[in-house]
Amino acid sequence: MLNALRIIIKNGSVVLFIVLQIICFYLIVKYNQKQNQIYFYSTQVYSNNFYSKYKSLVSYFNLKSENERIITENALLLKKYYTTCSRKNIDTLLIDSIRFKYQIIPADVVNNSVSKRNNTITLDKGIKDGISVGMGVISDKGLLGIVTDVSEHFSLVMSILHSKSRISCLLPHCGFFGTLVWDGVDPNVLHLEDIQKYAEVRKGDSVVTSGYSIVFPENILVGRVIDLTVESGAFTYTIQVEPNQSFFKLTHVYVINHQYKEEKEWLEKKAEIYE
Amino acid sequence: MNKDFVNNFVRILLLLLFQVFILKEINLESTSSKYINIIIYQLGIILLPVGIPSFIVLLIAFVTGFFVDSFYGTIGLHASACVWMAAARPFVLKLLEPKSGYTINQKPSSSSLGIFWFLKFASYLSLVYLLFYFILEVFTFVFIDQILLKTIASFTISIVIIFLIQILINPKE
Repeated sequence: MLNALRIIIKNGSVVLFIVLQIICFYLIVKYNQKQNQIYFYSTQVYSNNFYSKYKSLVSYFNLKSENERIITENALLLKKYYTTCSRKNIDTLLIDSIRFKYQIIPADVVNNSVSKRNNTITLDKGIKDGISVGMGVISDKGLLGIVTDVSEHFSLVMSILHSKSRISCLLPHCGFFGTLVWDGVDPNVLHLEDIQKYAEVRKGDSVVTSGYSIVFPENILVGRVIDLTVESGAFTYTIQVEPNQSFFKLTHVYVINHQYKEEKEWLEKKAEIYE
Repeated sequence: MNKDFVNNFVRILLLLLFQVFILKEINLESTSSKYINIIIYQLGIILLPVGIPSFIVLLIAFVTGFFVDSFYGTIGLHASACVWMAAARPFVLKLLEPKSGYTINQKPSSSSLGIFWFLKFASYLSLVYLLFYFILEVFTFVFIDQILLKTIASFTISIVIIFLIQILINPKE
């Protein structure tokens, strides 16, 4: 009996020691600024590493579907290649300018959020792979977002599911331009604003990028119109767009770099002189 | 037993007050103050009776550490280091156990077990305390040389003060 009590007391003190140390650790991290910063920085580094390892493990499981997707993508690219080849005979200058205007960097998604108001995607490529702030990010199915921060090996992408994301889009069926925003409710529903109500919009119309900003080339598919209404007294449609690329399953993406971005920005700054 | 309780309580309280009102205000020359941190209040926990259950020592250590933290503005640091020291206490006691063993109400003080025994005992525990304190203060193992330097510098001064307190204040029983 006494022995049993002694064992309990002995082990109890070990448990108590661990509990007290956990309380201390929590207090240290919560109330001391320097320790707090170190803690969060290291957890971020470790979790990013963990995510990349986890992704590389999981990617084996869907190799088959990935393969199929890559085959279809290859086919599409080949098709595009042949069409441009046939056009080459007609206009070599155009082909050259298209070929050199955009540079494509493939990347893998290591972290992705959809449930927050401002969602971000983390990619496993960074400064070392030539990514810089302001580049566009797409997948083979559609538009994803814009790079906002880069580190040595990772980059952070503001996805279009973000309160500050405003992307100029075009309805090719009727030729009207609008701005694509997200209201923060459903990750499968985006809103296209500023389309005048006399435009002939129908359900199922495709929405593509306009190419007005040089972040994205024109004619990249964004999604399809699933619902449109006109609020009473409004001049514009309220259009709901379903993104073509579901944000719940992202693996491979492409970062788009416009080669002459600085040149265009420099030139457009000159416009301020005449205003 | 009751007298022991009052004795220990008063001793811990006095040491805490000495620590937070006097030692905290001591600022040595700017370059050395970075390395020297005089901490002596753990003497109260070192001098608790040998027979006291270790979970009570842990709780006392946590409370006193937290008390010091609230004055130093380093919530959790001293408490954690003090709990580490309290956990190391039984092992150090076993390591330094005299051949005849401890008596039931033995106090680990210089008057009952000799000044050299006490010095060893207090040094081991203070080293554990200061080492964990400085590790937690820097919160990374990158600056391990700085941690060790701080530990040794602070330990030297702290143990001298502990020694003096033990000689001057503890009367022969």
